[in-house]
Amino acid sequence: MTQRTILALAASALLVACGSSDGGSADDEVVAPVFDTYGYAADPSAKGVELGRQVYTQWCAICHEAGPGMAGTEALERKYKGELPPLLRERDDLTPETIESFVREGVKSMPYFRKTEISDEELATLGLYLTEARDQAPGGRLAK
Amino acid sequence: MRPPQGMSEGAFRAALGEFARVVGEQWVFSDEEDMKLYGDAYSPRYGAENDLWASAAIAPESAEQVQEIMRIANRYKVPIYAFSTGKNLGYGGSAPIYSGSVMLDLKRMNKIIEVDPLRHTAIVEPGVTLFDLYTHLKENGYKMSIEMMDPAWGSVIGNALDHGCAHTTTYGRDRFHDHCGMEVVLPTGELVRTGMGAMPESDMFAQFHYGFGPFVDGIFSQSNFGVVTKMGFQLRPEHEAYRSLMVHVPKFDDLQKLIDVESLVTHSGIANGMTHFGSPVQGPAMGASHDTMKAFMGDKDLMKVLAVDGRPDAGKLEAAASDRGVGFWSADIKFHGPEEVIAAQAEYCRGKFEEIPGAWVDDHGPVVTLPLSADVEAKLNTEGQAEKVHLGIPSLNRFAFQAQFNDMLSTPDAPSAGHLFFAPIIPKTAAGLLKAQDVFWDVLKELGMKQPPGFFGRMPLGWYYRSFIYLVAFNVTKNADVNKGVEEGYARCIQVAAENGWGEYRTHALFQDQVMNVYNFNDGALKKMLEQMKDTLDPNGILAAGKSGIWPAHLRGQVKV
Repeated sequence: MTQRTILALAASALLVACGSSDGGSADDEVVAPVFDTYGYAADPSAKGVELGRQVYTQWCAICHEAGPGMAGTEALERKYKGELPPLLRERDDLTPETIESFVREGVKSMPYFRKTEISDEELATLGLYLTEARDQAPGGRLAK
Repeated sequence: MRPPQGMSEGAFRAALGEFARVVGEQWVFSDEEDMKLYGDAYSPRYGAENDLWASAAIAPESAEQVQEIMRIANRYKVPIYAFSTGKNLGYGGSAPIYSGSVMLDLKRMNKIIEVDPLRHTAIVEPGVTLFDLYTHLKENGYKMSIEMMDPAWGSVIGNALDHGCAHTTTYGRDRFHDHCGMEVVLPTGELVRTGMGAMPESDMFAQFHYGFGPFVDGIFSQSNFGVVTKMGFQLRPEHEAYRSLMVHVPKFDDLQKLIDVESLVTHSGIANGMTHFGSPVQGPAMGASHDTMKAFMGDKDLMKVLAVDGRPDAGKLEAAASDRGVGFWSADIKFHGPEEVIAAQAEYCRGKFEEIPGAWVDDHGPVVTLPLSADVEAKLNTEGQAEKVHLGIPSLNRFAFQAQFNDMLSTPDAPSAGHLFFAPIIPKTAAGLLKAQDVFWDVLKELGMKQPPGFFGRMPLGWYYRSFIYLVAFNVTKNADVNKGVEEGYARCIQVAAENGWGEYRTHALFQDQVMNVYNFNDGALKKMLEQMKDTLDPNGILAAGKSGIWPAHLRGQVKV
């Protein structure tokens, strides 16, 4: 967690305690997810991949996961017609550069994302996560 | 680096240096590549010289930083344009109205300041999205429902400020109406709290709207007069259950009867969800799946009736509806509340609708009880089931529907790259709706924009439950010629709508002036008053130039967007 998140959560605990003492409101102050990706951008370690998974969950999964009403998944089904998996996390042809291009330039109805939404560091860890399957495959750079 | 219009590079660099001192260098952006991210992702002027552009962006993380930024902007006369999360897609995204503005990107102000489970309120900052607030309530075990928009990746505050709407309950869908209390940084840098928040010792910021004196919150909607840094919202206890009825009426002439009963049960609060009017024989309802759309388009006999120049023959459509066991018109009527209470409400409504000769009423999907089981939740957003948005659950299902529609309109020489929404308010009457359909058919035909079969089944949206919004989506492409036609078409729609007394309740960044100029009763008295307010509250004219068609004195009449 970032220092700011920790501080906010600590403040939250205090406020909740204060709020509950009089049986009144449970005040809390939290920030929406911020990922401490500093230093993991180029690190294909389990930690970097895990941070990338968190970025994926926050920003990509709402459109690119399995299930009904997923705009990104449905768009990729229409585009590839079964030639490639519609789920990003099942693709083994993605590269960090491709992912960066889609995130920063957008495609069709998918808008681009600003650095206050997905920072360059977070984007790099997303690249690690979404290329993990390829990299873990035999011959890949993370192959055991 | 490209300085704001009329500003030297030296002065601009000096101002950016001061902004950086406030927020940190890493939160000031001015590189060309970064600036592309502050335009409109769906711009019809994509790649063109006259596309709206930003000179820089600053991302503060507190109201104090926003105050300091305003003071610096006043000293250097830097134009500032604030936005919450920039997901206003279809209406201009994050793009400024006045090109060259410095963007005040509030995404980092993403704190959920307070949630009160007893008074059912929340106070949030502008960077908090519907997904964030929903997740926070769930993770902390709060038994409260929030009014949901779709796509839910936008800002709770930004949506409310732009008069955006939710899809859930009658009393909460008007998101601005549902707010309670504001903290605003004025263009001068002064910090103001409205309502009870104006009392330093009060803990009722989100409990009571008005405080004392004139209710000024409205002037901060559609974002010209200040930067809202906190806003209270009134939530609801978690609804215990949800159900829906699908009403069908058989005849073309039944539309007003259907609207009459819907208005009776909705305006009295007996039906308390968002009604979706439809015309099943003329097309699937908004939110329908790709398979449903394909099945409709594959009904060749029906296509013969629908694919005509102008309104299809009502008699033939009534026969087609009868053959297919569907209504000519339909209304999806929704209920939120305790299971036995909404059962009674639904039965009352069923009886009222069945008084229309030939009408029939089906249960539309099963009764859903909350909290949802995993099985039930997995079925949401599928055919015959509730959409998440109706239950107050965030999703991008409606976005998926629009994306699918955009893909359908895509051609090799004009691939779709988004859409613009033209969104006029029209009367909540059958005569008003039918006239709007006829008028916009003629306009789009005159513009050479071929419409797919089913145009006359395109029904108004009931986000504002006492009004109809007749949404026209224009397909934006990567083809400049096509996009030029889109801009001309949009402008023509504003003009023709105004001739009929219909006006947009929000509009795209490119058309703010034109829309404000049709609200021109008594020689434009409203705009004149707003300009007087602008000159008083923002004496240097630094904030949100051109938003809502309100320009600062030094730019008034000088800028063609």
